[in-house]
Amino acid sequence: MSTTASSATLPDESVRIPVAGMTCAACSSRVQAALQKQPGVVDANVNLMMKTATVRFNPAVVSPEGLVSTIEATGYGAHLASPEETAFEEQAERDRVAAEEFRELKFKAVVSAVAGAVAMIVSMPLMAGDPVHSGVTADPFMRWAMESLTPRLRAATPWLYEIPSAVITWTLLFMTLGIMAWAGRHFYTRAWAAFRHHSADMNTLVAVGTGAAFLYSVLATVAPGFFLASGVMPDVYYEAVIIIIALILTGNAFEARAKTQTSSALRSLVQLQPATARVVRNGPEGEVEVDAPIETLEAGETVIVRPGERIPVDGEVLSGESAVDESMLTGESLPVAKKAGDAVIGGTVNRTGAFRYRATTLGSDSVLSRIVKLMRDAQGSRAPIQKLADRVSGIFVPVVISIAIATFVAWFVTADAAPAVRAFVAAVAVLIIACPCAMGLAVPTAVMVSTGKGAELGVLIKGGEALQRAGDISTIVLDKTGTVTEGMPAVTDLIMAPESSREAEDVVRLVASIETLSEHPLADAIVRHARERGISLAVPEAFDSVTGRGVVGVVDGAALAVGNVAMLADFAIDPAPLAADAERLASEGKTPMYVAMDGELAAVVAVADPIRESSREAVRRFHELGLEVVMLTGDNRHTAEAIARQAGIDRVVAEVLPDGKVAEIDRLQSEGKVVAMVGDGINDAPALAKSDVGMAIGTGTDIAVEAGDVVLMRGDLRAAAQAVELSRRTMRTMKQNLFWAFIYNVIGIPIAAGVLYPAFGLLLSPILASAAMAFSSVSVVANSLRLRRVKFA
Amino acid sequence: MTISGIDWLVIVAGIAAIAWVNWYFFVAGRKPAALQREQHDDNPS
Repeated sequence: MSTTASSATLPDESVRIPVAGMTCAACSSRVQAALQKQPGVVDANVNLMMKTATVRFNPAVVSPEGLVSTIEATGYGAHLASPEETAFEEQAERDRVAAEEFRELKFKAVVSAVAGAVAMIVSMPLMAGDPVHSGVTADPFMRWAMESLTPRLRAATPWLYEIPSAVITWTLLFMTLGIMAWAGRHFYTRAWAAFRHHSADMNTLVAVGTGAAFLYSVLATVAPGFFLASGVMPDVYYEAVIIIIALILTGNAFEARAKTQTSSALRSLVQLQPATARVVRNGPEGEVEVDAPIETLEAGETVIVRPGERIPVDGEVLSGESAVDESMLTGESLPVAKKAGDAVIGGTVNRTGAFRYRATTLGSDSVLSRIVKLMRDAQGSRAPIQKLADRVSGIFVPVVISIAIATFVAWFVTADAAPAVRAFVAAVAVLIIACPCAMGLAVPTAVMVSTGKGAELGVLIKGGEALQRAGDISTIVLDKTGTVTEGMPAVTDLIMAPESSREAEDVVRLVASIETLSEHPLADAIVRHARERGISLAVPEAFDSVTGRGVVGVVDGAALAVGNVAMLADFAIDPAPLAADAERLASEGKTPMYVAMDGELAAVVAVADPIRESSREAVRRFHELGLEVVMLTGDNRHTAEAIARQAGIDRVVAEVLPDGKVAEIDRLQSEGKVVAMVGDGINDAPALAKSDVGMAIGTGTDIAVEAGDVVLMRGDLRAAAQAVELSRRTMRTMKQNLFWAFIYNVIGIPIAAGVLYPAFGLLLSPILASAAMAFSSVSVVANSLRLRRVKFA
Repeated sequence: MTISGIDWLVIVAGIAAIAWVNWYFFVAGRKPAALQREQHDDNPS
């Protein structure tokens, strides 16, 4: 009972475990199923592309080491990454493993191919005397080999035809055994591990196909008399076994290389991190500049950066000025000016001047590290469309084995000549041509390439689900301030009430003083306006911010209320004397704010936030993509409509409170629209969460990386259009991949089974089948890689 | 086309093999999971 109690009280924990040896969707499904069956596991998600298992578990029931054992029992490798391992180190380790895997596969493929070619040549004399091979073969590959190669081989190497058949077959037997045990070993060990767990994958098909061909050949080698007595030629298929292994290994090597390329964007991000930083430290003779490994840096230390150097860690400029190229993180092509007090991001490049800065966030908290982690998680996530492929992969292999058996029976019963041989060859071809790998790779490769491409554009898409949903959106809702507009408003007008006795400068001083405590962007404009004019501000004696209305407080003994009409109504103040002016200012796209002092209307201050250069073009792109564009704002209707007119926005919902934004999105969704919301990650967080796709827009270095489903790293609405376009192209690629993977099997398996034989006399050898199978996986990955070359307007 | 005794044998063996493959991968594989889940539900610790 005590254990039950502790398991109930301990919170769930989560662990990421790197898994080695997974090759297809069935592999990841098997590991995932084994983990999900493990008592204590709350949730498990195994990703084929990232080769990781993310497991949420109850630590009172199962330990991380227990989870590693569970994975190892399925036949795959697993180890626990050290908790100190950063996203950079994890990626470096993954790259090392991938490079090693590629080297090993390539070496094995080359050796097997050479062995296969030798086996093929050595087998020629055996086939020459065999009526099935020489006369009635219906396989185009074998026919070509027999008709074009045999005469030349006989002329070039007559001695080969003098060697007794038994010597050749026994030599081939040992050669094949060697290749199977060395190059093809993992097919058999993994197939066996899967079988023990009542599961089957690509390895099962290769193992059963080549294993059956090998055993048949061994029987024909050891007891040829038994075959001859039954009226069957004792054919051997050693060369087929070796060539199949060589071709599948070649396919796997190409696939490994291509899969590595799908994460090239993530690798480029990781490589942005410099290894050392020039730091000012205290030496025996006072302050000295030393090149220190960045792991040794501490927050607060002073770092020096010269022109052309990469900024090693995040920080805040202390002295000096420069322009910094942040394009690698934000997609912003123009260098950004930096001066004392500005933030700089580690990994960006200093262009013009030298400066000193204070290191702030380091290690796993740095902006670059958070982006790398986000990208890594996104690339390892699943898109909902993957479920279809998962469902098919789950039943695929047993169904293919059943078809192979049925093929054998059908050929055995109906073949006019050499039924056993025909039946056997066709059944092996069915097993070899079937390819569950292409289905497993169709979606994850597209997710990886697409999220990488997005990062290059300064668009961080947080996973397959967000990627898929972004392609479905029909309505895009834009926040006004900081999204459609610059978010840097300035005071444009100050109109005093006719009956006010105050001086204009006095009104500015009092209003700016109270606004120093407000966090609203419009407040900043007023404070900046006063400071630029050298007006000294007072400390407010009282202050309160009223959401959706404005601010109230006391400055220098004067009771102040600054805000909209609703604010005046709260204090029963009549806005009529300035209502016409306020309306006119609003119709010009400015935000009028009424100022009341000691219960009387004093003035109206207008602040305008200019529209961003890129907003008009972005809205045009949204329209081209067929999206309805809606602008949501807390501002008054006139201002909002004026901005919307300038930007070309279809519909405006003005004067909404933050919760009103959520209600509006809810209303749009209830009309059946799929809604994306673009806004800043802080003020618009509830609306971003409510929308189908929340796009958080970054402003300068203040990037809310954790907010929203998509992060637009630069404050440019065109990035939102690029996100939608990228998502649609990715969905198209995923559908092409899935279609190709399905259709390949739907067409390939019946051809291998021999459906074309009655009409065209055409049969497929297992060798051609293995070449087709290798090609199908590679073609799917290559199609996904095309997304890297997509150009956006 | 006449079906010989050996043909009948191959047909029956083929049907049996298909049945076994489907039973092994789709039915037998689920039993341990279901049993494990039941045991886990009985004793959540």
